[in-house]
This record gives sequence, structure tokens and C-alpha cells, in this order.
Amino acid sequence: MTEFYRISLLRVKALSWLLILTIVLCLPSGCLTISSVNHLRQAQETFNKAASIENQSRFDPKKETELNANIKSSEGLTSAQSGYAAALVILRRMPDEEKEALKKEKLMGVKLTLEGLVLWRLGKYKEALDITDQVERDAKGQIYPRDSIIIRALPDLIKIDLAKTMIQEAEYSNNEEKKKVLNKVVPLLVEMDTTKASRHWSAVQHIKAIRQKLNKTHPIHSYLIQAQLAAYRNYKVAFTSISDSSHKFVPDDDKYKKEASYNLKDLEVLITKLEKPEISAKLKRYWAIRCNIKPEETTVE
Amino acid sequence: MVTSSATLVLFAIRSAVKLGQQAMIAYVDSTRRRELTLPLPDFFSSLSVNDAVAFFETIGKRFVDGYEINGEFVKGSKRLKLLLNKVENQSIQKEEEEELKTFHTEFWNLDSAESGNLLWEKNVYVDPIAINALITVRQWRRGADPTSSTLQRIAGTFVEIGVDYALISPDLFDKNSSTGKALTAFLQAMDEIPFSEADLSELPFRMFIATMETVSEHAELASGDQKVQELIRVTAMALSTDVAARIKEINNSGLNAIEKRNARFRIEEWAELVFRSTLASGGRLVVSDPGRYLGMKDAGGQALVTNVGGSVLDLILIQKNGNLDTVFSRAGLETVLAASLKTVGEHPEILTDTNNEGLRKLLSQIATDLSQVENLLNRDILPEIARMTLERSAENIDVFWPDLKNHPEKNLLLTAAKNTLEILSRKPEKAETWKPSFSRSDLLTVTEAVFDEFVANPSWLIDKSGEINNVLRDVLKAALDVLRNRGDRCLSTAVARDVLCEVLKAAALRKEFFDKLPPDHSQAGQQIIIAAIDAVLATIFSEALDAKAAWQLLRSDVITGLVKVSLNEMAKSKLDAGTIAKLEEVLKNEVESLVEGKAFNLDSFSKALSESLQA
Repeated sequence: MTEFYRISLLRVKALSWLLILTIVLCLPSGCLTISSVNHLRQAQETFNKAASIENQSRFDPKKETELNANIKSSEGLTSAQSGYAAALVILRRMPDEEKEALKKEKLMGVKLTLEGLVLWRLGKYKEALDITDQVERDAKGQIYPRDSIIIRALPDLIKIDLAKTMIQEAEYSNNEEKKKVLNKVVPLLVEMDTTKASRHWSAVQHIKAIRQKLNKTHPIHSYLIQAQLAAYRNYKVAFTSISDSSHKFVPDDDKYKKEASYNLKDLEVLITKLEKPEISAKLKRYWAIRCNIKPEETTVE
Repeated sequence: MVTSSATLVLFAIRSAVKLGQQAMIAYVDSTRRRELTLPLPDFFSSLSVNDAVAFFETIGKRFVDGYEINGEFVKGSKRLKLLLNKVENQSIQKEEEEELKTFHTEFWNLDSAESGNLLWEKNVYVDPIAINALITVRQWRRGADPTSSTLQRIAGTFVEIGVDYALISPDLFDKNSSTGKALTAFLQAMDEIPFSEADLSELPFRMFIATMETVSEHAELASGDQKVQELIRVTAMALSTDVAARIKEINNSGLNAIEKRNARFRIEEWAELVFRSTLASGGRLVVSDPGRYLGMKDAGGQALVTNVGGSVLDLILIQKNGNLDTVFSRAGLETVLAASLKTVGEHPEILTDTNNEGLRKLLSQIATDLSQVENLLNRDILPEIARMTLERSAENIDVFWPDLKNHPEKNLLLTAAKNTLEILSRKPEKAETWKPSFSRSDLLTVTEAVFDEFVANPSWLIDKSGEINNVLRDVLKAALDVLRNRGDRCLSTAVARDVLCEVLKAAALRKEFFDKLPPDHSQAGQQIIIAAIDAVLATIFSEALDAKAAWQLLRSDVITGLVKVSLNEMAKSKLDAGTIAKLEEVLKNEVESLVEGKAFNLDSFSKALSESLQA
């Protein structure tokens, strides 16, 4: 081995050791950030998987005509619930130092939004609503566009859930009770009363207000529109199942049905713009058949 | 080979730390922007018997046997009717409920397909995976993410490390050669730019090549002078920062991906041209007077030379009145840059007194004003007009730029240029016999002549209030009107241009040229100078003019010569209505002598006119 190569080899060895030393020295300051971000990412991943399972379960063609299907009891939904619970554990077990590290990295809004979503899906509505307040306190300047929209819409999503539970529970009540429930779920789901304070707005009305402020191409529109259609769907079921027997269907001139038609049209326009024709027609059918809206009433010109 | 092991080690440590920091930021960013699959709220997703009933009572009524539509009974499914009756009577069995729900979906699909709203496919059900993809939502809508991509952060860090390496490595290039020195200066500028934060796309590479090419093309840059190195450094640095901000703005805009790419490409192209032009035009100036161009700072503390580049780039990139890409060539850009550098160098107050906005605002105003000139086909005169306005303004900045501090966009020469171009570009009227279309060079020559008069005689062309009076504009307009009404297709625009220039020159000789003819005169109210041109042109372009005389008089040099001599001789004499009569008489005599077969002689005509006017 020549002297030149010997010196070169020594240099490379020294360089390697120094690199390792540098990385090791850098680690303590960064490890807290890394572990907190790792935990947050783990929770995100678990939540995404659970949400995928839940959504797939709702859109499963086999369930289209399932007799007395109670979606909550289905196998898919149970495993989704486990996923949400796991995500909550990851988020809640984070030590204070890690939470501080997240705040320092401006990730607190991301964490709280995820926590709010998880609590909502686990039916912990009160805690989920508390999160929306906590965001204002602890995540100022750290709440980004999508998360901000979710936090604003979270109370509406909860209203839709609550209404569905109320409708299900009223199924076995007497007519008087059913009427009372109907009077309660309409303001939660579809009512369009602008004279009320915005916090008392129905889910459809409030989501509409959120959407109006959004850029038309924002990808969250398709989610919000479907949430509005889900609210109308619950209203339709309430109208035909817990009101008196003369209401076999929601009439075409019903203002909430008209609003649902507009929303369905918006959804079709949006998906067409996203250049996803393979989904467009089928998704339109999915909601149209559930909301009993004739497809041509919503055809895009 | 790197200078020493210690340098190499320090370089390695710095690189590792830099890379580690950027990797961490990228990791945090990716967590922030991570997509979330959003679960839908609880709703009755399964179809029920009630849904079936609702359908067959409304949209699907035509499928139920015995149902009435518009007074007619439907001939439909009897089984369906039976099942619906059972629902009504609450006697339906579980299996029958299933059957009814199947009817519901089948007839719904049939109805949709028949009305053309659903393609008849085997599978009408929506794919749950596709739905998940649809409601898996990004933090920012596409193109609106303000954070740098992971690739950009890491790649940018590699570039930074590369630049660091090049700076400490002497073998990469010879530091003593002129190109080596230029390259060092360029790399020093690049070293100050955080590539991992700033998106500069391909600009650094373009500027690198531009540095090498420009240095080899221009002797003054190839000297290896330290001032040139400084010029390269500050220009590259300022332009990179400017372009990074512009690219960021584009990335955050609502443009689609292709539009964004084109916009970025356009900025890079022009920034490279500005960089080249600044080096080419600025090199000589900087070498001859470094204190002025590099030492003197604008209000923002930048060297003057960098502000000029930024202002010119601004002119091209953010002009609201039409796209200037087609107006500016590289030569045009160099013209504006060189004139700007010269003017700002002579009058740094253009920047210092205006919070760096003076040049930027004037250039923008030039583009705006020219875009407002109707029928101006030669938009590419903009660089030359900008050059003339800047250079001539510098000759008397207090007069021509009266309110530089508060309104740097207001420049009297620019107003004069706009007026001139409006007059020259006016659409011809039907009754006019001559319909000129002035070329770019004609327009610039006349504008230059107007500027000459302003520079030579500011006192009588600009009021005490500091505003332009309309004297010169009116003369130019009237003179051109005479040409339009008297001229014919034998009159070229080049001759007309020369005639107009002669009129402008003569106008400055005597104030009485603007006196108007008395009411008893056949051309009452017309200015003497205009009446004089009219007399000359009426003679030359008269339909009754004998062919022999026309042969000699309709020559370009004769027309211009007659106008010039007439006005010059008149300027030496008393100017009144009688002067016009004498001019007409001498012209008439000249024509008669030409008809008799004599040759035209401009000196003889001058002498005859002089004698007549002095008589």
C-alpha cells in the first residue's frame, strides 16, 4: 500500500468517525422532536386505517339491501372503532415534553384536530367539542387550512351522529314520542334558519356556510358535501319512519330535499372537475337512491 | 483535492449537520401536510323498505301495476303492487321485504339507465376504495402548500454543500484566472442563498452559464478586477432573492400546475437575461466608477446596480397593460438597463429620494402610457423610448422630473413622448389624401426631435407651474394635418418625418411662428408656421402642377429642402401675414421657371425667398 493510499484511508476513517460523532451529538436535541412526531404520525396512520375501514363498510355494496342493517354492529365498524381507540391511546399517552415539542414544531393544531376526530368517532362528543375550544387556546397560529375546516365542521358532524341515534331510538316509541324526536332532529340536521345564532344552525346550514368561504377547488368539498347529504339522508329516514303513516315520502317541494338536490349537483360538478368520471356516476347514484332524488334533477349542464 | 484534512473534516461536519437539520424539518413538514382519510358521519347507509315505498310512490310510480299517472292506470308489476299493499297493511314478511328492496334497486337502475343518467354497467356500485381516495384530504389544496417539498429541502442542501465544497476546493477551478475569479464571485453569491428554503428552479444553473459566457464575451469583465467580482456577486445575489420571492408567489397562486411551470420558466428566462445584461452593461460602468455603482447604496442599502436590474425585471414581469415579452428583445433589455444604470449613476437621488421606487415607477409608467396610445402598432419602441426618456431627463432632472420624491412616475418628457406618439399614430380620416403609417424608426426620430426641443428650450415649452404647455404638441399636430391633407401617395413617411423634424427645429427659432393669421386672411386663425408649410406643400402636391415641375419638386430631398429653407429664411425676417404671401409668390415663380424648363436649385430658391422677404 502506498503512502498516498494509507493517508487517504486514514482520512476517510477519521471522516466517518466524525460524522458518527456529529450525528450522535445532534441527537439529544432532536430526539424529543423525533419521538413526538413519530407518535403523531403513528396516530395519523392508525386513524387513517380505521377511517378507511369505516368508509368501506358504509359503501360496501353487500350492505345496500341488508335487512335491518345496523351499521354500528357490523364487523368492519367494530374494527374501525378499535383503530380509533388505539389512535386515542397514542395521542393521550404522549408525555408533556413531547406535547411541548409538538407545539415548538407548530404541530399542535395537527395533533388536536386528529384527537377531535378520534373522540368524535368514538362517540365522546362532549370531549370532542372541548377540543374545538382547546384548539383556540393551545394551537394559535398552528392550525392549517384542512384542520381548521375540520375543527369548524366537527360540531356539525356530531349533530348528524346524534340525530341518527335519536331516530334509531325512536323507532320503538309511540307516535307522540316519534313526533317529538322529529321536531328535535330537524333543527340538528337540515333546518335553514338564519335568524338563529350560527352555533344553533343545523349541520347542513353550517356546513354550507363553511363551504361558501372555501376555495372552489379545495379537495375537502367532496367530504363536506357528502356530510350534508348524510344529514339529509337521516332527515329523510326520520320523516318517513317516525312521523305518522301519511308521510310515505318526502315531497319534491320540500325545501330540505331541494337543498339536497343542489348539494348532489355540486358533488357531481366537483367530481367531474376532479376528472374522476368512474366515481362520479356511481357516487351520484349512491346518494340519489338514498335521498330519493331523481338523477336528472341534478344533471350537470 | 481539498486543502487540508482539517478543512475537510470541518466541511464534513457542517454538511452533516446541515443535512440533518433539513431532514428533520422535512419530516415535520410532511407530518403537517399528511393526508387524512375522513370518516363520514353516521347515517342510514342501508336501503330500507321505507326507501322502496318512497321510490315507488314517486319516481318509480310507473313500475307499479294499477297506479294512476295523469288519469291513466299503469300496466306494471303485479307482484310489486302486492308487496306494496302488504307494507300498507303491515303484513309483509321478512323475505318479502328483501324482495321489495331488490325491486327498488333494480327499478332505480332501470329508471336511471332509461333516462340516460347512468351507463348500463354490470356494476353500478361505487368502489369503496375509490370513495376513500376521494375523501382522503390534503392539508393544503394542490399548489397551495407553503412549505418546501422534501425533495427540494434535501436537494437544496446538497446544492449548498456542493457550493461550500467548491469554495474551499482550489482544484475545482483556477482562482487566479479571470473566469475562476468570476466563478468564485458567483459561488459566493450562491453561498448566501438558502436553497433548501428558496425555490430557484433552474436559475442558479442558468446564471452560472451566463457568468461564464458573459465574462468571456466582454473584455472589461475578463480583467479579473475585484470590482467585477463584486458586481457578479451582488447582481447574482439580488436577482436570486428577487426570483425566489416571485417563484414563491407563483407557487402559492391559484394557477394550475402547467400554468405555474410556465410562469416560473418565464421568470427564469427574463431573470437570466437581466443578469446577462447587467453584467454586460454594468461591467464597464462599474470598472470606471465603482464607488458610484457598488459603493453607493440605495434607500434599502443595496448597491445601485442591483436596484436597476430588479426594476427592469419588474417592468417586464408585472406589467399589467399587456404582455411585454414580445416587446423586449435582449438588445432592448440591454438598452433599458444601460440607460437606467447611466441615469441612476448620475442621479442616485432617483432611488434614494424615492425609497427605491423612482426607476421602477417611471419604467412602469412608460409601459402604461405607451399601452394607452391608440393604434400604436410598434410596441417594440418601448425600450428606446425608455432610454431616451431616462437619458434626456438626466440632462435637466429638476425640470423634467419635477416631483421626483412624491410622484416619480410623472415625467414631462414621457408626457411629451406620449403626445407625440398619439399624434403620429392617429387613425387617418376618410377625407385625408395621405394616410401614413410611420415606421418604428420614424416614430423614434420625431420623438427624439421633440425631446431635443424640450431640452434646448425648456423655458418656453414648460409653464411656470411645471406643466407642459401645448405649443409644441399643437404645432406637430397641425403640421401633420397639413401633410395628411396636402400629401399624396408620392409622399413617403421618411420625407414626412424629415418635414416634421424641420418644423420642430424651426419652431424654436422664433416665437412669432406661433402667431395666428388675422381674421381677414384666407387662412385666418392658422399659425404662421403651419400656413408656411401649407403653402409649400400645396405648391408641391397641387393637382394642377405641371408635369415638368412635378418631376423636379416631388423628389424627397427637394420637399424637405423647400420646407427647411422656407422656414429658415422666414425665421430671419418679419413674421406676419405678408410673409406668407411673399412665400407663396416666390414658390409660384419657382414653379413657373421649372415649367419653362429650368432646373431646380435650392440655393437659388433660398436667395430669391430671402430677397423677397427682406424687400
